Amino acid sequence: MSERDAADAAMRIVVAFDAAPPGEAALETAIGLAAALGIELAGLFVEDLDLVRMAELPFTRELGLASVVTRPIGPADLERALRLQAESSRKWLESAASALNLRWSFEVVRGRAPAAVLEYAIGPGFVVFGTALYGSAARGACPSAPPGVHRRARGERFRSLHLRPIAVLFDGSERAWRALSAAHALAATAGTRLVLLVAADGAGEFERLRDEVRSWLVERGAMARFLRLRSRGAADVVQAAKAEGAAALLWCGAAVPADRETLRALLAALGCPLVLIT
Amino acid sequence: MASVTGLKPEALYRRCDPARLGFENTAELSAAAQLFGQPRATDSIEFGIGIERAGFNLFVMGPAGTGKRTLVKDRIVRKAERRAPCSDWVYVNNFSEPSRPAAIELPAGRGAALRNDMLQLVEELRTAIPAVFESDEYRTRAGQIEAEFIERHEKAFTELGEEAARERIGLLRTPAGFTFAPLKDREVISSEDFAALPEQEKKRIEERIVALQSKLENILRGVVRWRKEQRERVKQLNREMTLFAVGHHVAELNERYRGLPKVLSYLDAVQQDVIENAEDFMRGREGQGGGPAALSAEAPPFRRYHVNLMVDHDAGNGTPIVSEDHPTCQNLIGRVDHVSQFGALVTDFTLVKPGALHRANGGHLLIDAYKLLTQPFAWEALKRALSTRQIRIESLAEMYSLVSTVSLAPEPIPLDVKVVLFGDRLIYYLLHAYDPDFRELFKVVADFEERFDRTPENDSLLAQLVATIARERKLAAFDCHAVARVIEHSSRLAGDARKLSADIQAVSDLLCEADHWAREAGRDRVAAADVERAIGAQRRRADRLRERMHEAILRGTVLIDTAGARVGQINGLSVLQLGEHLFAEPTRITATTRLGEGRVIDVQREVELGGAIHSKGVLILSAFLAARFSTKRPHALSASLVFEQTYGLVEGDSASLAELCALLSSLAEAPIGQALAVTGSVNQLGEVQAIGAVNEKIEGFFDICSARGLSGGQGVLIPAANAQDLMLRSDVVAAVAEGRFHVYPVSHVDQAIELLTGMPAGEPDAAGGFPPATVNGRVARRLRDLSALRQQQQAAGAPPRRRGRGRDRAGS
Repeated sequence: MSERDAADAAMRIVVAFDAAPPGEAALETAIGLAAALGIELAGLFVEDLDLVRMAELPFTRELGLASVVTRPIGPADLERALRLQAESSRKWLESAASALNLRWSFEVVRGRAPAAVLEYAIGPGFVVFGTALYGSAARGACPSAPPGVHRRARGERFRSLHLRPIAVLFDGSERAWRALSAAHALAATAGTRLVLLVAADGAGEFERLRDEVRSWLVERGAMARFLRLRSRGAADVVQAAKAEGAAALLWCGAAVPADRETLRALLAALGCPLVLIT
Repeated sequence: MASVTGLKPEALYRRCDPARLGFENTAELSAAAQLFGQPRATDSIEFGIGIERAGFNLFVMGPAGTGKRTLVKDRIVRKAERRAPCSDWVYVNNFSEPSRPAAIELPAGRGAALRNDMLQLVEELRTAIPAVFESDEYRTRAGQIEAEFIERHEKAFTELGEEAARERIGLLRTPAGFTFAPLKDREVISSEDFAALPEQEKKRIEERIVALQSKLENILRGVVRWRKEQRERVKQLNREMTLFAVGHHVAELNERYRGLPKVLSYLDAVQQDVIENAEDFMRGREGQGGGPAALSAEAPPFRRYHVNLMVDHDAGNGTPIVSEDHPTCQNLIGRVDHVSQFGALVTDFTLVKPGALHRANGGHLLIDAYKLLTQPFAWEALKRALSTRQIRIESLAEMYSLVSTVSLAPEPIPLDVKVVLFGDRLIYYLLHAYDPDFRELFKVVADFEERFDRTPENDSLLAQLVATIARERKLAAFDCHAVARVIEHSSRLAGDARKLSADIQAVSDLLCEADHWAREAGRDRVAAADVERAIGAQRRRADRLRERMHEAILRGTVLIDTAGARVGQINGLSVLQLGEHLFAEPTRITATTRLGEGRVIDVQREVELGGAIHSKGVLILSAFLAARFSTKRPHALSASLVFEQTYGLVEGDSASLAELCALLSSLAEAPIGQALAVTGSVNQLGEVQAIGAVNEKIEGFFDICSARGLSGGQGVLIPAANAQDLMLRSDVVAAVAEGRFHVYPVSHVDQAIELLTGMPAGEPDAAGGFPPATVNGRVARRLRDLSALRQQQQAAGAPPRRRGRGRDRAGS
């Protein structure tokens, strides 16, 4: 196995669940990667410590998402609601994995996303963060049926990914090659195309990386669009991915935001799932 | 009274001379013969078919086998060829009111075209609409609407979150909604730290959270509104895209059906419905497998665009002629079928089925009246359709509350049809008498004759008919002798030597059988012998009962004398009809006479085995006796008449002559020759009147006499009025020719009694008296004696006779 095909050695795809479901696109991305790479799909439900603390406060009230009614919420209420949410997420994952004959696992941890997720995803692999966040008010919870259970056509199975490109942040590093390898497999599975966001120090570097990747792709009968990033900063990456209308972004950069608010802002700006290469 | 002599052999059978037919065999006859001998019925049919007014429907009546349907169809076809073709009719979905399917009229042949066009349209839309919705344009525009919504929504939450963060309050997502909580070091404050805060700070935080919750509430309510707006925009986008997909297809159809406004309205409604339900076409791409499950799962969304072709006319076929052999209500006016779906009965406009009225609309509908009247509700349904001049399909089950399922009420279709009912005369006259609607709706009657005149022209036409049938049925050609025999048999079927039977079916059957026997004999021409054999075979097949009765007479089980002479005993002749087979057997009639009150007792009537006409005959002969012999003194006679060894109903008055002769014999004590049999009815004046089945009666007595050996003195007395009806079997004619059997035509009872007793009947003198040595003289004397005896009894004060319920008692 070559270094550049190291994605095959990845242990698992971690998909993070919390009180806000990750959204359809994130789930399809996680399942698509697991199916494309033939690796384990690991669900991690994070019981947010901030929520636990909030429920212990004396005056705390919850505003219903669907009913728009304010009601008290205590620690016991929250515990039950989290358990139900975790169970619902587990069933969904089980159903999706079974439909595509994937290996899968599911765990519940208490902590703060995304730190708890990154801590859990030690070792080579992928972590998928969804875009829902506040957006679950608009998008709803988990899809009623996981991809592949009812839909048969590839375009229908990965509806969120189909016809939109899979974007890869590529800088020539070993992680970047793993990201490219995974993105290529995902694009082939979802029946879509690739966009490489190349982070290069100069034009020469960009061309070298482009030629190298192009040869690699040609060997696999694939092709891609190449964009040269103005900088490696998150804002430029996000802007480029958004401009391309990416269905998902595979992020190989080292500077992964570990705090919730920063990650939330990043995902909100990006508008698509973020796949971290660990 | 003039003496009676037996008929000559040539008077017993009217032969058809083959030489006069003018051909050797029917292969020489080329022209197909039309039905002949029915000018009245033909005129009526042509009038009924020709007149185009409401209510002028036809009732064609007459016996079976006379070619009624053939003639009617022939005349209709002639007329239909000159008329323009009729319209096609289809039922389509009524999109605004699906329970009332809409009917559309189209020019002949275009109903099927519309059906195929709609199938094609649906097939094209099943590809075109999903393709439009999978296009980059649609995805982009739908994505823009979605993104706009999300951005609007996220912006509101982000701004609220930032506002909260500025006051060190966090916006948190819970499994079921949102909440706010105070922060400390970017994390939610612990309950211990919160408890340690000054009361004023706690109060400030709580107030701020309440204010933020209020804002969040507004945002969430706004999200619902935005979502609705987004859906409307997506819906509008879907309409635009669907219109793009469907518009040019429908425009093409609009061009094709220009000039048919109802079709254009329908196509417009289809377009609107497709636009409103485009998602059906997206779902319709799934589950394309075969089998019933796929049919039921896939079909419903697109069935509503199908076209139910109710009536399909070929543009070149003229007006329709429909014969409905099973005229149930539903087969006439159509029906709405249901299918079971998940345990419930469901239906739609595609399950509306046409009836005979739909198929015959614009043309002619032929129905058997008896079948129609014996089908529940069918007659009423037909009348309703003819009266309202429209076909309204109504569910009988729903009409009579047999099921509670809500069914369809298809739009009525205008009706323009000429109905021809076929039936016998009884049905016609019953309907005419008891159903006022019938008179309004069936104003034309065509009455077919059972028989028509046997003229040389009609003989030739019948020969042509034989040739036509032989050609149509692919029979061997008939030679002129065979045709002559067929004509003679037709005359026999008519029961009159001067007539031919109109029963074409019987002639046709005879031809087929004769052809069979000719082929059996290895001949390629049918000869007279084959016809004769066929007639004999027909008779033999139906002759079982006659043979058994014949056998009973010959064995003496049934007492019939054919020789000797007996007082008060005579051979009558009874006719029996079993199916179409008619035969006769002699019956012994006996009479006894005694003192009484002037009544003749008919034993058959007393035991209720005598019909009304038979009783009438007995009363007439009683009146004859009283009028002739007892004009000046009381009629002091009691007599009994019996049909011996009969165990069924005796009907008809054809034995009244025999009964009268038996009575006269008894009164005159003049023996009647048993070698003779008698048939005929009499009136009060003693005149002999015609009866039916004279041929069968003569042959019936001849067969018994022949079996016992013809003596030369045997014969049958028949009414002189029947002499021209005779078409007797060849063996009877031969026996008469050889003087071994006789047929005597009599016109008065005195002629009959002279033949039967061998004594003169006796003419009355000026005073009304009869010579003593005559039958009438003896009868007069006997009645005088009885009258005197009665007067003596009354003078002696004899007690009055006991009466039993107003009738004399026999033997008293």
